[in-house]
Amino acid sequence: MGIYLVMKNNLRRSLHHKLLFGITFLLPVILCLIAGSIKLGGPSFRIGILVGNPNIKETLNEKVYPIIEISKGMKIEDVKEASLNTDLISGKYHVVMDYRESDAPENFELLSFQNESKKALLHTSIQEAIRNHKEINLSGLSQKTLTATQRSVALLITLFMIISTIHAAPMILDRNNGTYTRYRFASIKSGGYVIGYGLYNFIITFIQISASILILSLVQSGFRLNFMASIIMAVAVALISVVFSILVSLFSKSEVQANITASSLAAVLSLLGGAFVAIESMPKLLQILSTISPVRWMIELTKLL
Amino acid sequence: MRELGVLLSYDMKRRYKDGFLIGYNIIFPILLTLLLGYLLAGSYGKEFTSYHYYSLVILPFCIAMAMITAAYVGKEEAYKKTAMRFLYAPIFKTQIVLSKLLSCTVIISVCNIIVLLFVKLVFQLPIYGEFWAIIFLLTAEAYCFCAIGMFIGLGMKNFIVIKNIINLPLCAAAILGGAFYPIGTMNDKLELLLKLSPLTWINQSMFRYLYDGDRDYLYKISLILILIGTGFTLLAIVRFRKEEFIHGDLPGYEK
Repeated sequence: MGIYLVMKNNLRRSLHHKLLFGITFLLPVILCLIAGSIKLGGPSFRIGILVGNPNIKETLNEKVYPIIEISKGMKIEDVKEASLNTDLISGKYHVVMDYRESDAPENFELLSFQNESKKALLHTSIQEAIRNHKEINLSGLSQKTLTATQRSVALLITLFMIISTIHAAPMILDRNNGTYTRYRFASIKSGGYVIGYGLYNFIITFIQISASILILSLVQSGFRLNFMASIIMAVAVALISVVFSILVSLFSKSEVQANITASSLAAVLSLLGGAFVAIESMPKLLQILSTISPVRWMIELTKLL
Repeated sequence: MRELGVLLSYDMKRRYKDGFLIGYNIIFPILLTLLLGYLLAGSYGKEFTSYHYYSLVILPFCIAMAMITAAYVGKEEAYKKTAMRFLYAPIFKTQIVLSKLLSCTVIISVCNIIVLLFVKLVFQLPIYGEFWAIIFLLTAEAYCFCAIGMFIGLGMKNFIVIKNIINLPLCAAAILGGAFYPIGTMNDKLELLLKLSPLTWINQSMFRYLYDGDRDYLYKISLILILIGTGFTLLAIVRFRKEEFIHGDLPGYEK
């Protein structure tokens, strides 16, 4: 009964502040709508071309540009010399073919901040392709990437670890302003109070996640989860997010601490879980550490479903 | 002026005694740089390592998160029930806003110097002649984001709503700005989206300064940040409401 009362009172309390509830409830759904609507296209390998001597430009137009344009997943663009290193560092170009001191299409310096062995392999592949007029073979360099569904699920779990903390943070206020003590006087045990809060949080988060999954399946191309898989995913993501948010709130002294800690931890867990870098490409130690990340569990669950 | 000095020293004491603020702005960026640098160590070469990349992009992200701290600092008196004393004291609202804003900016800037010194020494970040230029940019960023936070904390009636959602746009801006992973594109629409994040501009200004020798860009971005910060400081002063300062902690107060 105590658990039910805590859950009911918190639902009523959150519904009382309609503006706050409306914004907090709709925000993740709107974010999913925006993220799902952006057509990112497939992964591409971006090559820049830097030309110093204008006489070589015509030769490159005939012999280099067509080779790169026919190569699968490759894009080419002329580079601005003024921001060359910035564009390489920020990832606008993976590599730049430097023709400033060259007069032949196959004689170029490959500029990149990538690992030396990858760079050498790529240099040889591009040179061979130009010499033989064939498309560039990147098979030795291709990295494993997440599917659209896996990436979206990773986004959802990261987002809801933060959002769920918003719903759980009033626990800290309750503790600080004496509401929690009043609950205890009403003979509700602390475990019951936490479970009641968790249930309230779970109901709200589950509805939000279900709406987000629905939106993603409508607007995002490549997002595929059948009805049963969507329910399982919504329950799993909601459960993990709620446990995470309750733990963060229990260990935080103030709302600001809880909010900042949740955002930071969610970002770290997302990185460890392989949302940005494939697990296979991580160092061994981090591959082992990544098993603690719920983002990885969710990506693995998506593969199973 | 004397009143501002008294308030400032009082606020400074509060800030440097705030273990979470100090920890978040010193330990967290270092840990995140170590983790991410290690994560992507194999993808970078020897000349420019993953530790160099993350040393530069993590700090602006952590500074942006200071906006949340600044918003709560604005509400500090309401939460601690000491706001009435401030209003009875012979001080102006400008002094209250400025003392809070300056204390946040100064403490965060000191944390930035410590972190930048650490990454310079440990990861051999090549910023020998440019250390103070980078610090100038980061201080301008800290001022700008603290001013926005102060405006949210002191000048807005819907703090109770905004405080809950403020970290989401910041995290989105961090992802778009390449704080977790460099997001490059040749797609015009996506490039436009990336440029919506202020962190994209801030990170690029540091890269252009350090690796392309473009000094003007960094100072232009710093100037823009200072101007935006000044705008929000003025807004926070003009929109300062006594009722909000006293009762801003109460849920539902916006009604």
